[in-house]
Amino acid sequence: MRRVMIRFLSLPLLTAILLLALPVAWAAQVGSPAPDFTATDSNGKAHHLSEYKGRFVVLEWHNRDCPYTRKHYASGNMERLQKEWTGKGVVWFTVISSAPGTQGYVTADDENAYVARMHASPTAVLLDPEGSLGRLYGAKTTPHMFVINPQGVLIYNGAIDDKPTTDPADISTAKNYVQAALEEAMAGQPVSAPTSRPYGCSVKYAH
Amino acid sequence: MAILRHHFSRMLRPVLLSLLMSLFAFSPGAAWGGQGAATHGSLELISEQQSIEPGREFSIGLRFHLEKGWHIYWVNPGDSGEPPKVNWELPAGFRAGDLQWPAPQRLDHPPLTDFGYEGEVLLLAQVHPPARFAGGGGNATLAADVKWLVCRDICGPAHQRVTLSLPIKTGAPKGDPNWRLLFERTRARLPRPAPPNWKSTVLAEGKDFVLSIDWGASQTGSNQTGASKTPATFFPLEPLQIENAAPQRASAVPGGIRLTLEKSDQLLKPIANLKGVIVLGNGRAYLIDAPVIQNKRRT
Repeated sequence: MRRVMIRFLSLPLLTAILLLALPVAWAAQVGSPAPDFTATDSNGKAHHLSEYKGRFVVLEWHNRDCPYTRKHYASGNMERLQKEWTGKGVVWFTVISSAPGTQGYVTADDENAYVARMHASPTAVLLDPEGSLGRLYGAKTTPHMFVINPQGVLIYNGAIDDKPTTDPADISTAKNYVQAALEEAMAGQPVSAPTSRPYGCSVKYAH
Repeated sequence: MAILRHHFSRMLRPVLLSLLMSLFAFSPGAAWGGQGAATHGSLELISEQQSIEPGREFSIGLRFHLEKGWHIYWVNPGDSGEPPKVNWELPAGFRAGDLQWPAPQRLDHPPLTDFGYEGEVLLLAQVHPPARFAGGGGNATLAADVKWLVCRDICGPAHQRVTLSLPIKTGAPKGDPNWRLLFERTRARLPRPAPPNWKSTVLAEGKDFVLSIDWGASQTGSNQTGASKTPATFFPLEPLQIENAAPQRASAVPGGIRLTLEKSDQLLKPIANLKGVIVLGNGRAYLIDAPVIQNKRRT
């Protein structure tokens, strides 16, 4: 009886604690452990971030119809990065947080066809139509990039590069922050630009 | 043979047409939305006055008139988007100053917030014409090559070159009555320097910045916050200082105002100054550049 009482009482208390913790949990802070997640990819496979301890992980927020995403895909820039870094053992997750009915929302089959057509080579595409992974990391734009080190610590949160435009001609002269973060971290150096303003279209979250 | 050729060309015509169209679709112009295409509104280059007097500076502006539901961005676009960029093409000896941005509005689409404009907006620039013109009078044509992003729930890049031709005349120029009100209204929304007797400071406290403005001896501030429900809104000029979408808690305190702003998730180091534009209850906008004091007890 007493146990039941405690359980009963602790439910609102637990809710209150969770609510209080929510603004903190929202943030993915560079220098802190990256929030763990479980997400399903476009082949139906579940991925837990914790499985990938010991490897670098890149998260790339994606919306194929956003002109900023198109800039990096139509030019082959994103595919080139995916190929280069997955080739060096990096786990690369493309994440789609577009809600059903919004721009960039795709079915699993549709996405698999797109990946093949674009010759893209992410480790997996995580489908996040309810936006929970996006909100957990505070993903704002497509693209918005995160890099997690083998210890599970977030080491980069920001834009793909320093040219916030839709013009593919800017790619050749841009400084690629993701490339720099991975190169520096793999060389055992601190990341020189650990944050930047992500640029692009807003992530089309469910409201 | 002729019939065959005719038949052939009729068969080929749709193929050629679609080929041509696909070529056009991949041209650089199309990548930018093309001239005038998909701008979801109109853009024109306008002048406050009807003629140019040698050596006398004057105001021009990029006038965007957006379709309902569409918006463009402020100089700091907030969580997403991109501000318009202009490349001036001016006659020899002319110089244009930086774009002047009227105070924006908050564009909330939870969990994100952008800063920008809906409806009609004018981005101003000062033009300095030369004191002497080699050919005497005639017309001067000013051109602006403008690239911008226009968004609703979705976004599209737009690109247009707009021109303005004005006669060069000696003597004080007449104002253009068509645009007098728009220039006035826009100037009223331009952020002005904070009055010298205001004292602005920021206390960095845990996950917040608390911005305090003391009106000092002046009544400027207290008169302007008025009886508005929202006494003030802060728009950061630098990215990654505050969380754009976080609610701002503004309150009037004796002789001033206090605003609690949530620090950005992406802010890793203490900042020396918080820079932005504060819009008071009556719509007046002021530039704020406040030193940040770290609260050692809490952080």
